Amino acid sequence: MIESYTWRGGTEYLLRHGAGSRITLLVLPALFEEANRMRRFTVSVMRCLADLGIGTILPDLPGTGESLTNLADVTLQDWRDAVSGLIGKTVGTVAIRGSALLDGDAQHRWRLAPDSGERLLHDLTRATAFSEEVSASEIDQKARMVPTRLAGNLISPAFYTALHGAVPLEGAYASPVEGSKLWRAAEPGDDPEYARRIAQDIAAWATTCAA
Amino acid sequence: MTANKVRDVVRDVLRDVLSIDAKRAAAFDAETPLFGALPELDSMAVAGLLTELEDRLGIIIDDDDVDGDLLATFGSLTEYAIKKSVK
Repeated sequence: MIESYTWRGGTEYLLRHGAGSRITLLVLPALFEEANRMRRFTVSVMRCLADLGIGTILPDLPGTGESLTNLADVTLQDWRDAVSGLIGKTVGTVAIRGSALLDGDAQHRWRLAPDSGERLLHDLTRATAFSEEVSASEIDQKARMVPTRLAGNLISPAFYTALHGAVPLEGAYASPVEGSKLWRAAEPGDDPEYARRIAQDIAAWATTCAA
Repeated sequence: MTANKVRDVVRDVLRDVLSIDAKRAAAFDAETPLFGALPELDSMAVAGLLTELEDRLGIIIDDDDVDGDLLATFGSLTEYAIKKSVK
């Protein structure tokens, strides 16, 4: 079910599965290129959770997906504020990869393979350096001064700098469930069996949080 | 880590990142062309491939070393990974 939510910069879409469940979780998508690679898998996990009686919402972060906001106008704080506005309606957050940088305001936080902003940006600068045949350090310096397109994402210097220094806050539940690293795969993929195991782990964790 | 082991890791990473089947990956030899020859291997896939190699081999790949020559063939990528991993 497609719904919307508002943050101080506008209105964005969100996807809901398992409406009416006693427990609802806020699913935070992987960031940038990884968002495309992980979208199908993320929605698969949401469907599995609905089968287990757990509801989920997956927002478009400002400047991503169907958002009318330009990513170049967005800052890390905007993403964190948008997420914070949704946390109150849920039991906890399920952060996929880089979105662990956004879950700091949630009381209960589940994470899949969190990573630092520096490492996420390194992938983007590396890809850009390779395709444009310039050095990664040149791109890093440029991105700190002017809006720069990194692997298709136009990012402001403020966003770049904040993201570069961002690390996931401690105290979250790190999932021990292992499976294919879909975020590294060149093409978007799915892994229904892995999605099922992930959903079972999230459901067990969420039930404890809600108790 | 032995040179052969490093070669296996490079093969595994290519297979996983590019989602190619095990039989095709097993047939890679030193002359097998990579960048430009494998449509799955675009610049974003190159970044993912290198980061995954760093993680699995416990090495740091210098950004200044990353160019078309490094990714030219399975042999060029493997030789680089062996140089970085085997002390």
